[in-house]
Amino acid sequence: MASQQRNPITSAAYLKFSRTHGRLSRNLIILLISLVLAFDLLSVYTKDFMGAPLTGGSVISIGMVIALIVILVILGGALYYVRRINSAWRDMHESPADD
Amino acid sequence: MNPRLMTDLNYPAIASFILFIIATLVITAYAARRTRSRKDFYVAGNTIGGVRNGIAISGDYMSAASFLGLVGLFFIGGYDTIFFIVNLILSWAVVLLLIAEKLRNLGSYTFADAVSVRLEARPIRILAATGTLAVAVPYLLAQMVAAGALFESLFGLSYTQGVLVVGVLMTVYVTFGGMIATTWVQIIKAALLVGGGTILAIGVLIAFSFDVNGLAAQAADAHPQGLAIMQPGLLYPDIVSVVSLSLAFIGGTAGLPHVLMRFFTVPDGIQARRSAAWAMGIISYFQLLVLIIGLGAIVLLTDNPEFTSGGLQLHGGSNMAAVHLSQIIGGNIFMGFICAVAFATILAVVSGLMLSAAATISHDLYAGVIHKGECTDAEELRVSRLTVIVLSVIGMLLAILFKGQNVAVLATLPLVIAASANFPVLLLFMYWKGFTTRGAVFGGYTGLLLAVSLIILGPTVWVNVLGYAEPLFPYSYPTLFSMGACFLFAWLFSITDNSSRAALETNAFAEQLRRSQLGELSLG
Repeated sequence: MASQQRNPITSAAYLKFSRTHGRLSRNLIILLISLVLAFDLLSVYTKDFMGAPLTGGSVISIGMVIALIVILVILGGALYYVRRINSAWRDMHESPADD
Repeated sequence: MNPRLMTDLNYPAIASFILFIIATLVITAYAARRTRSRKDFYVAGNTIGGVRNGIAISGDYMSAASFLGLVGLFFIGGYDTIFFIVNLILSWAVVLLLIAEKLRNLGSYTFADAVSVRLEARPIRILAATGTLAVAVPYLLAQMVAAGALFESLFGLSYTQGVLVVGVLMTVYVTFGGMIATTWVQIIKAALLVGGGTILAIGVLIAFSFDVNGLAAQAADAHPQGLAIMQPGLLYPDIVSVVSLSLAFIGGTAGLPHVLMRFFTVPDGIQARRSAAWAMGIISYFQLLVLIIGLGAIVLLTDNPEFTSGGLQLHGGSNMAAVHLSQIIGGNIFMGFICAVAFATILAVVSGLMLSAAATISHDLYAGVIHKGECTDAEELRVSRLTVIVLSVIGMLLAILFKGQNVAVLATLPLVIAASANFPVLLLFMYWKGFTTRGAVFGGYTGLLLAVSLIILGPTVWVNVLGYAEPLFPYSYPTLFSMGACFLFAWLFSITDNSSRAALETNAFAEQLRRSQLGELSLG
């Protein structure tokens, strides 16, 4: 909230922030939805592969491990997004005024 | 039903629940003194911080279905429960990346406030109110029916008394404490739920010496389906079912009005983003606990004569898996605690739902549509409180009428409707310049009607409730079709809209985009 009390935002800084924000959220969401859709498709169409044990002595299936990886990627992506956008937000407020 | 549960009062559960009620009533008394305006009532005066709001959102979102339902589902279907968990976590990424910040920057109290920034207010508010009530009423009913049944089996009260206790408490929280009290009820509930789930999962791991592979192996041995519980296909064998389920979660979460409303309680878009991130983290953690708890339930409950009538036939149904497991892990005291957590869960969710339903009636319909925005703060607040009382009475009466009914449909409907009507309208409004009021109205109502119709014709109602042998529509989740139709009609009726109003709406998009990213800040 302290950031809101800084200098007025310039048009150039806003456009840069807007582009970063738009590109990052669009790319990330496409990536994450594609990942989950791929997991769904693999689970439906390659049941034998996804249901196969991870190792010889294990009953935990490959699909379960892939699901865990997908979940971690989603959480990692979300964390990256928050940090990146917060950083872009700060940059927008700290950029010098237009001449 | 477990005969022992029916006849013996569960004193630890009663004590835990009474403690929860006392704590939340004290908070409500405090909140009532701070609730003076409609802004305080609807959105806690925008004073909730991002972290607190994130915890409250997780408390609002994690219903009894997220805990009791998913553990029960894993107990029956194993691997396929992962579809729920993965998509549920993805749905929060959608909220975080696409919705939270923009919604906060554009709206005030309800999501109709945001959408009517650019689109025509009257039809949008009526559409939003219809969508909100279509989500909130069945969701509320499902929670109250579940509460009545749990009260009956554990507290020695009748079903009707159980419904009345939940209904009266909900009315008191919301009428007097508004969003401030509701927020704290949700925060306490989230802490209890995550704490209880963690203890239960750790208890399971201790019982199996922290050997997850050994636990999984014993689960596969114990379950009637054997190793198949580690493989996909037991619950959802085809791609349409899986994709429809995914879409129900992805769009449903981002279209639930009581969840969306929580983003207006924070001061700005940054805090909204922080809220979504915290909620996502807490909910994800809790969903992962479900896997451990589910595996433990399979090993310890399957064929256990104390808790089943053979195989997977649990006393009280599969939703009781977590409760029975808690008794094995921690005895009666821990089971009592878990039961109290389940009731706290129901109370927190119904309070949030009631507040969103009251807000849409008093703010969108009464103040926005009937009085065209010309309504005093005090009058709108009075109508809100009255709405809460009236809706609570209706909810209690319906819950009493619905006693013994299959509530699965009531739990399925809200998510599918939210995904099929609210989410597409919100998403297209935020990201598509060419989206018009006409597109929103045709798309929104098409999605809503199709979602309701296909659920009625599908196996959940047509077979399980109405008793027909074969469903007229083969899928339990019709989201692929209803959401698809909403997007299609919204697009079609927007691109063919040549009215002057449509041109104005298109031209206003640039300003909307700026405001959605900057909020009230202006360019220098």
